[in-house]
Amino acid sequence: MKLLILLIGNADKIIRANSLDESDLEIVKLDEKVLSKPGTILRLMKVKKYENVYFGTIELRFQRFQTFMKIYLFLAGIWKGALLDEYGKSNKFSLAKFIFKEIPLFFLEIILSGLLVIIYHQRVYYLRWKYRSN
Amino acid sequence: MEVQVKLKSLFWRTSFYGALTEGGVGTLYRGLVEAFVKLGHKTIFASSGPMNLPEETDFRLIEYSKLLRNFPEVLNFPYNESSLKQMMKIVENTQPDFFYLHHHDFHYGGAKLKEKTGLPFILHFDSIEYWVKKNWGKLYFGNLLKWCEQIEVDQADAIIVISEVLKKQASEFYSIPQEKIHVSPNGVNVDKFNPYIDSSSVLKKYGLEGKYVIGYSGSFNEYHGIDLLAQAAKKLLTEIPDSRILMVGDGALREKVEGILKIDNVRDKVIITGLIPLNDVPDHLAACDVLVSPIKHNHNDEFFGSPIKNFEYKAMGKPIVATNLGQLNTIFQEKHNALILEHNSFESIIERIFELYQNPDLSHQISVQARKDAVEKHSWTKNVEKIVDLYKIIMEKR
Repeated sequence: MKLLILLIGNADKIIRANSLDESDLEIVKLDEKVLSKPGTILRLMKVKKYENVYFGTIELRFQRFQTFMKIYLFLAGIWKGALLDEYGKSNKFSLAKFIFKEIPLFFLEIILSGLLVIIYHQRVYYLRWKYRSN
Repeated sequence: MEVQVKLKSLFWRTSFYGALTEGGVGTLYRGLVEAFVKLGHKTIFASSGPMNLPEETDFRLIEYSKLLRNFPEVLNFPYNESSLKQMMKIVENTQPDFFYLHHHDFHYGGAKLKEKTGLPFILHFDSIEYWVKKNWGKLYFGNLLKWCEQIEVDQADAIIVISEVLKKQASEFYSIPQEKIHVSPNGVNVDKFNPYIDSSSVLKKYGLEGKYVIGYSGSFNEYHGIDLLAQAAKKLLTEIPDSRILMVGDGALREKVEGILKIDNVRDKVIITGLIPLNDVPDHLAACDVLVSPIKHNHNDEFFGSPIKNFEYKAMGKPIVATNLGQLNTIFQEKHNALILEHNSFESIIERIFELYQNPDLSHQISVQARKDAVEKHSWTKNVEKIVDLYKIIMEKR
């Protein structure tokens, strides 16, 4: 049994573009916002013994939160999952890539985000003052 | 004789919306750009993702950073600077007359682009993002968000809002002079949405031939009231023989809606299409016998929106049941162009649809008037004429 978590887009197009076998595929439509609720996602992924879990979207190039999806696949112990789109592009889960590339990049993003919050607080505060005083 | 001004407009969409080309803001932009083209103006469109626009549009893609894709607020900060650089190149290469920016949270690039290029800056403001985050989402970095909004509204030469209610709210919240804010509710392409569309393929596709079809199109979000239609479904489908419900759209409430329909054991009589291309929406609305718009208030505040579906419904020349909250009372009037629903009442949806089902003359009368209103008052070309007038006023002041 496989699970396709459809975030956005057309399930048929994703299935066809990625040549998925429909016979044992369960499709669940979820709003992208639900990705911020780990409990909900992990419960869904563990509700049955899925051998594969896919996240489906319109176009991976424009899809946010891909690292979070990989983290959910890792935590659910489904290490064969993938992120798929309507154009047949896929971002497959690979344990080595996850540990040595995606997680370090995620930590880098966290650090960078923290710095950006500090920098932009100063910058926007200054811009507001500058424009108001003109 | 008045000389017709032909303009070169630069649209700028900054929000991160992925690859989603359909739905609210996408529909707004397509409508405006089509109307610009129809009236002989030129348009350049810069956006963070793909758009479904007329082929005459000079489209420029300005993507978000690939590294920052996991924290929705933060990814906006550097986009202000990276998109600004690209926008300045676009301005240099295309020499537009003005730019038109759809307001988005944590964005202040409009003010910077105006400062760097001197171009007239028209800001489309369809909600106070601080309010939206606080009431409908999660508010992080509230001060930063407010400062960004303040910068944009201060620096814009003119602000277009979609309702009188929003004009009042924005004016009070950000101390914006009333004369700077101009109300222009959303509109519709009255050529695409019309009463003469053949719906046979949609009826066949969903097995709706010979059925009485109750229709809804739009977001499955809180204020659209789609959950009320789901609650009304059981009784409607029982009391009206051979009836079906066609829900066109998708959104956060879909799970809730499907849950209600399953509990009431009517899921098999309700078709939920999910998101469909904008070009397919008219065919789907044409397949309906009555259209429903049960808009709700925004928590404790007065409704400030201007749902595009209301104008599309009217342009289709179909009988409508709708709430008339806030400025919607200028769109819908009882037994003139719609039957008015009580606020937040699924019982009212049942009563009013049943009333229309039993009274074909009334249905016909309000449908004809709705179409007439759409053509005369709600076409996107009216919005574009207003933008052109605003441009002229801005230039006269300079």
